[in-house]
Amino acid sequence: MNVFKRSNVLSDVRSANGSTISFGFAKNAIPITLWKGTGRNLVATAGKLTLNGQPVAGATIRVDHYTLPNPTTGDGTFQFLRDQTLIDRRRVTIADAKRAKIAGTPATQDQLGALTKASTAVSTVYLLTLDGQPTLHQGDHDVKITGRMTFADKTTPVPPVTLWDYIIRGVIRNEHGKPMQNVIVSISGENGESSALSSPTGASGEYTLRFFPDPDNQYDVRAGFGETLYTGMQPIHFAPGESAEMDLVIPDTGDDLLGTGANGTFQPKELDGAEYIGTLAGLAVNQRPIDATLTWPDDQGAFSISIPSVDAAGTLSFFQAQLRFFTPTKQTPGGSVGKGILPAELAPKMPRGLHALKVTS
Amino acid sequence: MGFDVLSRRVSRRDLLKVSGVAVAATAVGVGPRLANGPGLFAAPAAAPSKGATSGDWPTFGYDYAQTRHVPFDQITKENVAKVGRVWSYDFLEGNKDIPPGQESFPIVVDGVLYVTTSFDNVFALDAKSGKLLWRWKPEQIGFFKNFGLTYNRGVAYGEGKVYLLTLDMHVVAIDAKTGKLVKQITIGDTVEGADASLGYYETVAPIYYNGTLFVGSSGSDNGVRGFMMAYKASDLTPAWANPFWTVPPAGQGWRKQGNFHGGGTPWMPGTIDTETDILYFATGNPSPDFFGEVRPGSNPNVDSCIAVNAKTGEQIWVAQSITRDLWDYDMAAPIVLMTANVGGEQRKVVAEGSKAGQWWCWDAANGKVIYDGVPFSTIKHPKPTEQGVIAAPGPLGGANYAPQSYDPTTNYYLICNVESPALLKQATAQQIERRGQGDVDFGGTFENAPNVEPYGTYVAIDMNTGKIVYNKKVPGVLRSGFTTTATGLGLFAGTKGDENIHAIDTSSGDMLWSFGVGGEVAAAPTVYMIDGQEYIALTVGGTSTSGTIPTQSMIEVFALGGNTQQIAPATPVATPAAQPIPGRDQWLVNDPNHTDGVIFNAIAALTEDNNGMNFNGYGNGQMTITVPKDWLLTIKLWNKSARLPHSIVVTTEDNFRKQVGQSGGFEPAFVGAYAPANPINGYIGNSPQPLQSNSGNIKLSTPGTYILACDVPGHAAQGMWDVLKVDPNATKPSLSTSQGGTPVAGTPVASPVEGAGGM
Repeated sequence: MNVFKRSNVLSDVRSANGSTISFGFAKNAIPITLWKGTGRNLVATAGKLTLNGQPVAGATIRVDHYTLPNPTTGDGTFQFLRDQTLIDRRRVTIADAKRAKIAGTPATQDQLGALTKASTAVSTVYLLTLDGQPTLHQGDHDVKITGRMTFADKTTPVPPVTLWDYIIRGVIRNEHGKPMQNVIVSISGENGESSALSSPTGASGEYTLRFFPDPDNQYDVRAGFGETLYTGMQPIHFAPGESAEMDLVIPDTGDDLLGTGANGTFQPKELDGAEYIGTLAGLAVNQRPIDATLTWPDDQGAFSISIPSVDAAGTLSFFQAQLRFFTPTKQTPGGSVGKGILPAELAPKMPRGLHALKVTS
Repeated sequence: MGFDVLSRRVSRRDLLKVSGVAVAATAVGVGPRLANGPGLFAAPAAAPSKGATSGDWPTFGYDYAQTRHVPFDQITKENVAKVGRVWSYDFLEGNKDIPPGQESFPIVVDGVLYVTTSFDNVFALDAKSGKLLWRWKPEQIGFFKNFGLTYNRGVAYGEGKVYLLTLDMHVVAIDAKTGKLVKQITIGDTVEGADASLGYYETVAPIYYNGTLFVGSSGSDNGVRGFMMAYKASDLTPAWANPFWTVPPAGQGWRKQGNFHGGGTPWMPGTIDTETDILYFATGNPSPDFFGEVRPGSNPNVDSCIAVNAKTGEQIWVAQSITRDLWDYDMAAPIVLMTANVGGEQRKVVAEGSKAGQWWCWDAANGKVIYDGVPFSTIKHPKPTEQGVIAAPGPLGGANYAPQSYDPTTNYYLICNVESPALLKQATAQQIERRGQGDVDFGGTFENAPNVEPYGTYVAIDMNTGKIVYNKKVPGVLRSGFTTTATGLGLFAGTKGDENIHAIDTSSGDMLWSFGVGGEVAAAPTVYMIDGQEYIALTVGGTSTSGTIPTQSMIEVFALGGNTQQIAPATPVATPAAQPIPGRDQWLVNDPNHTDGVIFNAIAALTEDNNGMNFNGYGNGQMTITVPKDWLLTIKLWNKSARLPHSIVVTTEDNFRKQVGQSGGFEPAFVGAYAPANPINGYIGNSPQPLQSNSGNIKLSTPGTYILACDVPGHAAQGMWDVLKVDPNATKPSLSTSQGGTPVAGTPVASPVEGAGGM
């Protein structure tokens, strides 16, 4: 069963005042194609903006941060390019409707309000081919749904879950224990190899470095803040195949970077686990993944979703997620997705609503 | 690519340490003008945001076509030797937070010169006077100090704003009049993963065109996924719906085997055909650079010229220079777009000479190859091994990021080439696995080939035939790039051993002018006109791959009628050989042109006595020159010091006493009685400096005692002064020293000046 055979219901938005706004996409999701070096990786995506079935002309559409250069035409149509080689979900809104006309008439204030609040999303996803049409009934136990996750060619499987990096994480504070914001932490091996930078710290002072511990290397640790580069004077050895936790301290004076041990020595602690990247499919209700046991797609893209108990009637739909996560447990293609890896709520960029499964009572 | 030598407390990111020298791997990297009007690019059109006929240099490569060819004709082959310095600016003076070195290509808009420095500082200077108008610097530079690469290659101008890309992957808009920050965005917010923590960084100048800002990045050698992106200049929101990715996503195609391997970053600015709205850009090497086993196939789109729709980012065509790159052979320099005489007909083409030491030319419309890999450098491309192989060019040459120029006056294409073969050693498979995302990804190491001194050549290729017209050697590697003018001049500058700006006759390659600029140069000249005066601006300071560790960050600006005093260390290339310092018997000699004339060769810092603060070995008034009244005195100032500048002023005793405690500023006692032109700055160099009087001499019409003093602040106070006596009773000049003097090689005595023998 190909999950792309579906309606465009997600294009329709019902506003508070009862108006129905449609962005009119033929499909809300398109399947990922393999990237082509000599071909085109962008696909034109056309929509047609209507309000209560009437075309909306002169409205400006926005896709994520990108504002389309031309407003909707007289029949409400618009078009933009999408990269069809990356899993993605793009939010579509109306950036400006001040000059919009509905069936040739300037929009009223109510209509403007409805239009500027309307949004939908379009996704680029792996092709889900289910092994048969699942039927779900409230009260069912141990329901198992299986299928394959592939590129649009139906043969190339989704890239398997992969160990990506080991990490060093911790909190950087000042001498008085206050977390430091906008600090960039870095390490570098003795030969300039095995270097890593963090992103700037947020209000919590938390930093993460991604690296591959080299047993033959000792690492210098540094932190850049403002105009100063703070440098640890104590090289550190990190064990191979291990992550680490290490809190850091920026002193009030001087430019030495300190640890939390005696006399400011660094105190790295071994941290079991590593960072992985993987893509999976799951089921969700109202933006929330349901309690299910998922497996990572194997090297052929085959996956399963095991639902211990179907609790309530309603509608489930598939989502997909490309996740980058730290876990203490080894993740393997075809193996179970570890606990705590799935977020409690779907992130904005995760495609969802890909195929509705009705749970009957 | 760049290299750096670093202490333990200095950054080592992007670096490989090879044989005691840390070597980085990717050698590496306005609206303006459109140069692609009909026919040759004789007259650039207007900058989009300003008037049509200015003398500005409004975008990185002068025009959108990146021709670096200006229509200005004031400086010619005949008068270029009269070009001298008109102003300079030292970016390090008072700004100790800026690291030395310079790779910035200035732009000039409405009389203001915008130039960057390391650590992403932006300076706005009055382009006529060099006066500082404003300076902008990032707030967070602490981590820059641990980044290894520090350079920035310039800004774009448009809509009253100056646009900058920062090392930590931001786009910055600055008010061009005030220098105040207008807006700053994080590139990673709109280009997934384009974050410094994942190996990306920016040294490139953006390009402003028709309301859009085009942004590439660096990071090929860190295994990133190359991209080009467009933003609206008005608010820095995306102008394209998607980035243009140059290589496959991680896990696909040739990136399937190693998720962290990548490349294809466009790390020099793009090129735009304003007639077709096609954006062309060159892409960098694949990584791991020297280890191809984990990136099978030809790795399409790296080391390539890519043509995309500038409005949408849709690909139009791609042409790869070399396939299966194992040597770090980026296409680095900007693509040059031109309508040239090709095979006897006018054709719109694009071209680029690459780090592979070869030059390609393609049809601009469809990418069909016209000239295919014409070699202009020594070519030797063996497969790297763990034991090491000698490859030529090495990863720092042949044509690195230095921009190239099309000269329509000759129909020649001009390239700055680097001849620096390298010993490449491939990493082991185990080493390849030992890296995290964003870490350096060379797949080996390289160093200069043993017993080979790198050098540069400048190359001209006839667009009509694709043949090399000339390929001439200069001492240092060439990092600057070419700029050509309507009068058939080709301007570029050198590096170690050749710290000069040069002007060649583009038709013959003959060296017409070389002028010492005091340091290595790693950016091409910018040429502009203001109030009828043609200026040449050049950043000086070099880069870590230009020969020596940078110590400077300057801009020097030249024009006709400027001070022709060169700045040491000036290595003569097609300039007169250094003149020998006069011996003792030549200190005071008859003037062959005037019966009652005498020439005094004043030699600053002849000895190390008095810490070098002496003339002819004497200071504190221990040497006296006596000259009869009404004689003509010619003074030639020599400076034996290669480190300290010196000068000489003939002043009165009263003025000397008054000013010596004020760090100089002596009043000449006679018109023009000083040398060089700016005695407070002084000079360093091999050639003697004449007095600044019209005739080069002064008539000693007023008897009395005068002081010969160095006017460089502090020098006279340290004793760098001697005595001139104008004696109405004397019949001939003489030179004497006091008993307490500091003699040189025997004690000078009053020197007879009659007769030719002593002259």
